[in-house]
Amino acid sequence: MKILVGIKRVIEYSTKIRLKADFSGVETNLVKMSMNPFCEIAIEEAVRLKENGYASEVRVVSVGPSSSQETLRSALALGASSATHILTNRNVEPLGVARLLAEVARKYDSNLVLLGKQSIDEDNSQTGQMLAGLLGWPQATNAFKLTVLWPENKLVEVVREVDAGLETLRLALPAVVTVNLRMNSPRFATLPGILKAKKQPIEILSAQDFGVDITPHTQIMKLELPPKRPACKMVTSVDELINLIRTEAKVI
Amino acid sequence: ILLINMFLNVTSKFCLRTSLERVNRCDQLLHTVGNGRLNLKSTSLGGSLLHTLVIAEPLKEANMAASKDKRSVVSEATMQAVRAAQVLQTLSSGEKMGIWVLVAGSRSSKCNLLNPAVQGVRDLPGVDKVLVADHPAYEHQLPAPLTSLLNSLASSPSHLIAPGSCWGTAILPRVAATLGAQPLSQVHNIIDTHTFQRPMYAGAVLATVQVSPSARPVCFTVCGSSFPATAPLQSRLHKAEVEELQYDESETTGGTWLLSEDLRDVTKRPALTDASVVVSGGRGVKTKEQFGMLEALADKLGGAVGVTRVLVDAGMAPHDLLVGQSGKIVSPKLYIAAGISGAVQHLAGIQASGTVVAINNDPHAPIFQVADYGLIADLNKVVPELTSKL
Repeated sequence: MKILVGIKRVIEYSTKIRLKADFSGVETNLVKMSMNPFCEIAIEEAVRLKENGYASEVRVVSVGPSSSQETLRSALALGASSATHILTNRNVEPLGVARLLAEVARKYDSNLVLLGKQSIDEDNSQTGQMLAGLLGWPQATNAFKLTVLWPENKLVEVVREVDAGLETLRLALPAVVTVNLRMNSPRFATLPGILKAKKQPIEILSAQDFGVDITPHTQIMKLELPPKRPACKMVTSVDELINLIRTEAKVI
Repeated sequence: ILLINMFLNVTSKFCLRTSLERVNRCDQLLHTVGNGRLNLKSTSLGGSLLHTLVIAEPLKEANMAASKDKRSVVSEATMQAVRAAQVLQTLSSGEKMGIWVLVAGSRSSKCNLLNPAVQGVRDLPGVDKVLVADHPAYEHQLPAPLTSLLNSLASSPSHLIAPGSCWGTAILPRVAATLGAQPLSQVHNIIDTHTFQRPMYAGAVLATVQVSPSARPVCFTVCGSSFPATAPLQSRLHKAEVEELQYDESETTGGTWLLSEDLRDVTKRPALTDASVVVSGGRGVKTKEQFGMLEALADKLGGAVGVTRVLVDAGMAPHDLLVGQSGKIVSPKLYIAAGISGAVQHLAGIQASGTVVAINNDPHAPIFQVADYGLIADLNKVVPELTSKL
C-alpha cells in the first residue's frame, strides 16, 4: 500500500496571533512556524502503518513557498520515505490544494491519503473532503482509529467521531481519511532521523507542471479581532455568584 | 391582423424554446463539469428560478424523541441553516430568492425517518420547496452518494448551504469541489449574497471574505450558534411544496459502508450545541468523582456537560463532549467553566456564550479575561456547593 500524507506549515499553535498594522493579514514575520498538529498525527499514523508492514511507502506532500521544505524535512525525519514540494508563492485555497493533491495521488498511485482534519490557521476543515470528491474516492473525516483489513479485502475500517458519538465505517481502498487529535501521539524526531532527512532529496514541482487551475475564488477583504468581552467581575463566595447569575445576568 | 398574430405566435414560441434549451444546456454543462456523467434526473423544469438550497441534516431517532417537546421533527442544525437562508434571502436584491431544502433518506429503511423529516421541513417558516430523494443508498446520508445526488439536480441553486456540524462539514466541501466551487466553513455572519464573515485561528481573528461574483453555487456551512432557530409554534397553513426526485439509475454508496453507530442519548441530557446551560471541566478536574460533580451540577440546571482536550486525552470523557477549536462550538445562555485555564483553542468554542462563569484556583488563568463572573476557589468545594444551593 502506498500512502500519501498532505502536510501544511502553519503558525505554531501556542503563539499569540497578531494582525498586521493595516489589518490586511496576520503577522507572520519572525513568528514561530511549525507543522500543523493534525498533520503531525497523520504522519505518525502513516509511519506506524509502514513500520507494521502495511505500507511500502509514505510520501509527504506540501503546497507552499520555499519555507515548506523545512516542514517536509521534519516529516522525512519522522519516518516518511519521500517528499514532494509543490512550490508556489501564491495563497492557494483548499480547492486548489485538493486539485494538486489529486494529481499527486494519481501520479504516485496512492492507495490511501491521510490528512489532518483541519489546519489551525484557517480552520476550514475542507481539503480532505474536496480531495475525495475530486478523486471520487470514499472518505472518512474526523477519524480517530484506522485499521487496515489487508491484504485480504483491500479495505480499511475507520472509527470516526460524529456530533453525537461514534461511527464505524468500512471504506474500499483507495480512500481519503482525515485524522483528529485522538488518533495517536506523534513521536519526536530522532537525531539520526534528522541527519538522514537533511541528505534526502525533495522533489520540487509547480502547479503548472500539473496543469491545475489554482486561481482563487474567494478573497479576504479584511481581518478584525472579535469584540472584546467586558471585564470579569470577581466574586468571593458561591452565594454572591448565584445572586449575580440570578439577578444581574438573569440566566437562571 | 390574423397573419401578424400568427407570425408573432410562431416567433414567440421559437424564442421560448431556444431560451429553455439554453437553460437546459447550462444545466447539462453543470452535470458534465461535476462528474463527467450526463444525467438529468429531476422532473422539474430547468433551473431558471433563483433559489438557495439547504441540505437538511439527517434526524436520528434519539433527536426525534428529544425534539417532540419542541414540536419539531427536524434537527436544530437544519433549522439554523434555514435561518441562515432566510438572512441571505433578505439580503438578496432584485428577484426574490426562494428557499429550497433537500431531504435525502430511505423510506425502505428499518426506521423510516424520511417522512417525518419531510413533514417537519415543510412546516419550517420560510421554506418554499422540499426536494425529497428516496433511495436505499441515502439511508445513512453518506457523503459519496449525496455528492452524486447534488451533482445530478436539474435545478441549479445560487447558494448551497449546509449545517456547520460534523455531518455538514463532511459533505459540503466534497460537493463543492465536484461543482468546482470553493466553499466557506463556519459562516458567522452574512453581509451580502457574496460576502461573509468567518473565524480563523481558533476564533482569534474574524475574516470578511468575498466570493467571486461569477461563482455559482456559492457554498457555505453555517455556524449554528450565529443563526439561532426558533422552532415553529404551530403548523403552517400553506406548507412548502414537495417534489420527489425520480431515479432510474442505481445509486450506490460508492465504497463506503456504515458498520455501526454509538450515539449519545439526548433524552438524558441535551446535546452540547443545543443546550442553554453548559457546565464544562478542564485540567482542574482530576478524578471521575470530580467529573461526576460537574455532571450533577449540569443535571440540576438541565444543561449539558462539556470538556476540554485534557479530559478527553485522560479518557474521562468522550470526544463528542469536547468544546473548542477542534470540537463543538457552543452558545448557551450560561457557560460554567470549572478548572479550565482558558487556552485559545478552548475559547474558540465558547465565544458565542451569553454569560461565562469561571471557577479556578489560579488567579492568573486566562479564562478570567473572557469570563463575566469569576471565582478563585477550589472547584471541589464550589461545584457541590453550587449544586446544593441552586
